[in-house]
Amino acid sequence: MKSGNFAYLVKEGARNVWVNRLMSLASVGVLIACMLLMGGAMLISYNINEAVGYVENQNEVVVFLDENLTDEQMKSIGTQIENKGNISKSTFVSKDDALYDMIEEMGESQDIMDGLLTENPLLDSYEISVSDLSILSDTVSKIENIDGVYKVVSPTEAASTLTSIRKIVNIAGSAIIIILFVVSIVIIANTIKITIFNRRKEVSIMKYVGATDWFIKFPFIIEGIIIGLLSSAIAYGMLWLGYQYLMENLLTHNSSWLQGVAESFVSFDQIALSVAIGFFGSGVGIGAIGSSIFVSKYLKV
Amino acid sequence: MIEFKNVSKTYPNGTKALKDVSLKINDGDFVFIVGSSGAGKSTLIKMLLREEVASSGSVVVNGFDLNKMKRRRIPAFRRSLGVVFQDFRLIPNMSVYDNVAFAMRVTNASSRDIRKRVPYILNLVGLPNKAKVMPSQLSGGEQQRVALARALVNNPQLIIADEPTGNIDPELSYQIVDLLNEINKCGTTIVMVTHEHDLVYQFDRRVITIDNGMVVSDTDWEV
Repeated sequence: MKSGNFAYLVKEGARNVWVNRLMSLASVGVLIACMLLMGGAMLISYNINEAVGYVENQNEVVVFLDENLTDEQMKSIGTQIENKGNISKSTFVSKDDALYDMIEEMGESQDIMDGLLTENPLLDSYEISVSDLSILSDTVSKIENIDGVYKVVSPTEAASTLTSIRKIVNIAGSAIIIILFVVSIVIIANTIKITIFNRRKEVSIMKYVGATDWFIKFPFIIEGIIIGLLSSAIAYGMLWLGYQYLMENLLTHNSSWLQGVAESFVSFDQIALSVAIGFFGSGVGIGAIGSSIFVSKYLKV
Repeated sequence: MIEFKNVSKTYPNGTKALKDVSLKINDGDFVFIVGSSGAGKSTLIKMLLREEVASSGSVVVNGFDLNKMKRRRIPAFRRSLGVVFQDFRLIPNMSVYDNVAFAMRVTNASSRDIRKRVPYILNLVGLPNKAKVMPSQLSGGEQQRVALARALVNNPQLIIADEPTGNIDPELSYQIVDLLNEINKCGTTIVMVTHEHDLVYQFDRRVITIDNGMVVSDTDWEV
């Protein structure tokens, strides 16, 4: 292809976006809608996962030890716990520390403790966190079998609830995203098909005049790329503003619970790059490949 | 030159459109092809444009053996001829100028050549002031002259006109055929399909009559 021709064909593609502006507008609208749906669904499922993960990491298992153990015995229990696996964090809390913390927490009313206590009634303990919450009860029963362990207090019920929530979120999220993806592809394919169907006569005329397939296809591909770029830029902007707006509103919301949830959300900056790559890549790719496939249908004159 | 040797065409649905047709059209000829609808004229034209391929026999146009030609050679073949259709087939969203220029652009012509040649050809068909107009703003006769300009612009050896006057007023029809006649005088072969017998009588040229898929008369034989 000569460079003069290349410039002409690119210009033709750009001109066709404008000449067929009604169809271009329809295609841009459909692409934006599909991208927003997909992007929104991905953001939501990503954030829910993140939030559940955050709550999971807050799990705390307290292992109380028998009274009157020597320092060595307590240390050996510590190593034994860590050797059971699935432990992400383990801290020793002596009964004195525990009492001190308890008094601290009481704040202004800590005076009442003075008269009540002559000796420390608390037990030495290990505070541990597990890495995989779904096998928490298994880990707990292993620890309970260690000699010198008095009692293990664990959020078993909360753990199983969280685990099943995460499973549901993962499955439902993936299912919704897959369905949206398929629907998007079908809608986009149909839109491109209609656009090109409207111009099939134009394509066949070009063939009669002796244009090569490539000469006819190229402006259509350029047109597809321009529409893809335009749609992804607008969709990206809308998603960005929408997300920012939502975050701001949640973070300043009266409900402290909603504030807490919003704090565990990822900021848009963290995902901006992958969203941009996803949008622009799919926009340009779908535009170019879609146009190319459907124009070819009318090239067999 | 056009040469059909024992050409038959049967469509997949069983219709026998052409039956053992042989004919030869020499360079510089002006030929009318006449026949009632369904006689096989359209099939003949489609074969001349390599839109359809013969079921048997051989078709050679401008030195291209159309039955053996590879698909990717079709554009090069089509550039060696100009076509005019009954329904004009101008590209609706391109101006008159761009419609004519398009036929040159597909041949990789330089923009300098295009800028020189297109106004010249538009002048030749009598539309020097319509370059920037869109096809929809022109009358049928004017649109057909644009189509003719597009067919002429690459200076082809052969022009195929498929009922070029079918959608045009009778007075203007004469003008179009007269224009073809003038072009023919410069050495271009013209093949024109028509069913307007008046026109055929006015221009005393070779007439090939097709009926029921066969050549039933050719004035060339009688000469």
